Amino acid sequence: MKIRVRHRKLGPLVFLSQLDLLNTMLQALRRAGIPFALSEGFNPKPRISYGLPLPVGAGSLAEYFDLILKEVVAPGQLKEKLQAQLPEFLRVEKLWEIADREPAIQARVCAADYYIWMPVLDAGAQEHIEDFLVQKQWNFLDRRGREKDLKKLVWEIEFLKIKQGLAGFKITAAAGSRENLRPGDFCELIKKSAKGSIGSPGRILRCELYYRGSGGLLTPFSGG
Amino acid sequence: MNWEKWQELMAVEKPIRYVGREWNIIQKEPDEVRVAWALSFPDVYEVGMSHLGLKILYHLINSHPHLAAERVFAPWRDREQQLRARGGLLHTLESRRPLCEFDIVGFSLQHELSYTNVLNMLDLGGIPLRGEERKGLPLIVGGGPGAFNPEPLADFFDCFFIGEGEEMVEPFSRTVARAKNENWSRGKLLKRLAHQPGIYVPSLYRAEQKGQFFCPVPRDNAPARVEKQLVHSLEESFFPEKFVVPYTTAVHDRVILEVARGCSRGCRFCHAGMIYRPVRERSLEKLKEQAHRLLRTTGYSEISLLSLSTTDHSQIEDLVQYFSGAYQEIGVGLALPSLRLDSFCVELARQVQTVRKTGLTFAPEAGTQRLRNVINKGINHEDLMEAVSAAFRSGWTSVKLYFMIGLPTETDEDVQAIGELAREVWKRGKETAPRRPRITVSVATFVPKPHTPFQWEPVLPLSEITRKQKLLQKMLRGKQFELSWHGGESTRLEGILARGDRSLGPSIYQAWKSGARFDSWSEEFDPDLWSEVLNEGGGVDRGIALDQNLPWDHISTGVEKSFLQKERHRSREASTTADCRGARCHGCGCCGNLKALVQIFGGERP
Repeated sequence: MKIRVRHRKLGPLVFLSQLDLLNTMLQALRRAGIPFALSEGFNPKPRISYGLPLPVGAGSLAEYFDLILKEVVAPGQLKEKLQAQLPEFLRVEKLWEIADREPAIQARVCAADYYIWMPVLDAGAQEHIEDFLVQKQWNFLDRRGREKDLKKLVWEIEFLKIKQGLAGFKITAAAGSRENLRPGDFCELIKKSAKGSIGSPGRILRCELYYRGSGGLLTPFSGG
Repeated sequence: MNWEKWQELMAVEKPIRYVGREWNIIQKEPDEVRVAWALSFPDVYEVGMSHLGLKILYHLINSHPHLAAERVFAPWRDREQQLRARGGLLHTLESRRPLCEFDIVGFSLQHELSYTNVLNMLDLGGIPLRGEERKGLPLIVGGGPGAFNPEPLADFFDCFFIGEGEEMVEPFSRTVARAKNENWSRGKLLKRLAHQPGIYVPSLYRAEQKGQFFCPVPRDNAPARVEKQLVHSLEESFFPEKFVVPYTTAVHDRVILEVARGCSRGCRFCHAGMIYRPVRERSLEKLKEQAHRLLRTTGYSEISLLSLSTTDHSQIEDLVQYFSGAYQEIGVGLALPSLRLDSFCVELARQVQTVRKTGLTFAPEAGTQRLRNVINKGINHEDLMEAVSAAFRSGWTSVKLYFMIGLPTETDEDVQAIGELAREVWKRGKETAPRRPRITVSVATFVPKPHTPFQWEPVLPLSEITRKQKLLQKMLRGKQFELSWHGGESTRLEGILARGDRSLGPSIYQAWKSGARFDSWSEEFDPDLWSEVLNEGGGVDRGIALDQNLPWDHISTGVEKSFLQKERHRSREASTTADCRGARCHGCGCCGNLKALVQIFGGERP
């Protein structure tokens, strides 16, 4: 039996690395007595896979993982059992059964929604952001020294105005193994374009992951 | 989490260290608590959270409805700078109250190189460093191996716990509760505490120069000797039903079972072997129960059997057999630490099926049989070669060997013998291992520790440490060997602090003031800073005369000084002394003085 879980990652637990999160979840699953399957071989490992790693410091309303169980269990009970072993900051939103042949979430993710807030340092920020948004290309030199046009990776962007010293954006961007926008790269680019009017780091909240479906974008719980 | 707090944590390395809110933490309502402890570990979160003693005391204190224990760890330099920049105080992870608001701040003194961190935590916690500058509560208390020579820290602490904390925290808390209720003065409280078993109150002792040391002399009727307290039956003693589970990888992320306390093998350099006597085991039955409960409450996937020499447990075969199989189905494996050097133990390691064959560690300690006899490391060349052969035959290709240089009576021949032994082990591996073997040789420098038969020995001069390390480096060239050692300067500092007297207080203070932190982290240790504050190197190069008064003579581990002298004498004859568990009593005095008994469960020891 295969299950998929959607949970939050908020509050101080945004500082968990992806590995920390995986270990924390496995410990909760073990405490909850959820009968997950182990891989074959000399060093058996739980068969769990997370959707898309989240940078340290970023929050999420939509973390997903798939888990293979070694026996059939009613999903309704599992959610409660798991929730009882997790801190409130990692609240389980949904837990449901998926088809055994459903590909791992990781393989299908193509896009993600993010809220991003950046600290505004002076009054020039508004104008710099407006200029930035209408540029044809967002050229960015990534960590490996490759030049990329981030505009091609950002599918939709909404500027949420400046409130309480923070400039907010809502974006839908390419995510996953083929094309991926690192939200941190986006923040760095805005900071650079704003020529000192905007600071760092940007605070990131992931709100959803998407699949490519026949009729457009699908969420991981809309099924195959 | 508000923007400022988030931004601050984004700017430090490993912010998860400062977050708290782990699974199984205990947070009490302040008005239900009569006495609140801040358990303080003077190293980073990950190191402290791996420490079993902290887990035991945390849950033991919290098991009392009117007592609370919270945790605090040493902030890394980046976090310290943040706190200082905004005038913030170091606080616990539970209630996030600063240290100065607690009734008792208790430090775990695991080794001497953590002392500047202790001072730093006090200062960051809003507490005046010197005991005489403090008024009212909190009391600053220290325990653990470092407390067995408390004198270098005497200026900064109100009390030291000599021995195993489980026995002392309750009566101590009761007295503090009473003092709070009845509004005792600080002086009255300290005087009362000084008469409780195992509690040393340094301010009630005057440091008087006796020969080369300042030695404490009791004032105001304080007891002349402070006797170590211990758990008489490990089987019946408190052990937590839960562990706080860190979010981030601690050094040991596993269910730790304490299978025994104490070791009577009698290695003459070994501090732990002398201060934790006698041996007390926990039974397989009890350990099964504890493992079952802890696995359920933590969700860990590994069990580790902890003690000073786990493979000496009288039921070790049953323990290994049971724990390597019992939870296999749910993916919970067994980790075996420190192996004794014989083929019996290699066989045990082979049985632990989940062990990846990454490496086995053995500790011959010295290169020649003569020197192994001097230090009373009861193994011989044949045992060693048989053990490594067995390891190679069973498929291990990487073997780690622990040695020491600078041991008493050591000559260059002994040092060269380390190199020769490593080469021989490698050659054996080439003949028997499935792949090319790799030998890691780890060479520490001997540090004489108080309360051991070697407490009178000198520390090797720096030039000699370097020369001997070079000697080994020349012998162990090539990719098949990996040679590692500790820096000579930090080893020598450890030696100075370990056997220091009260006159070291100002030097420790000055080192902290000049910026010394995390001295046990080689990349943080600043030898120039320390040589600046310690003039004359503290005299560690010289040995101490056997009849010299020692700054720790008033602290009793139960082991008689005359026994230590006898053992030192035997070391010079290269005579060995057998483990008292299997043989006759050698009269160390421990059982009689402490009214304690060796407690062994199984039948014949292998």
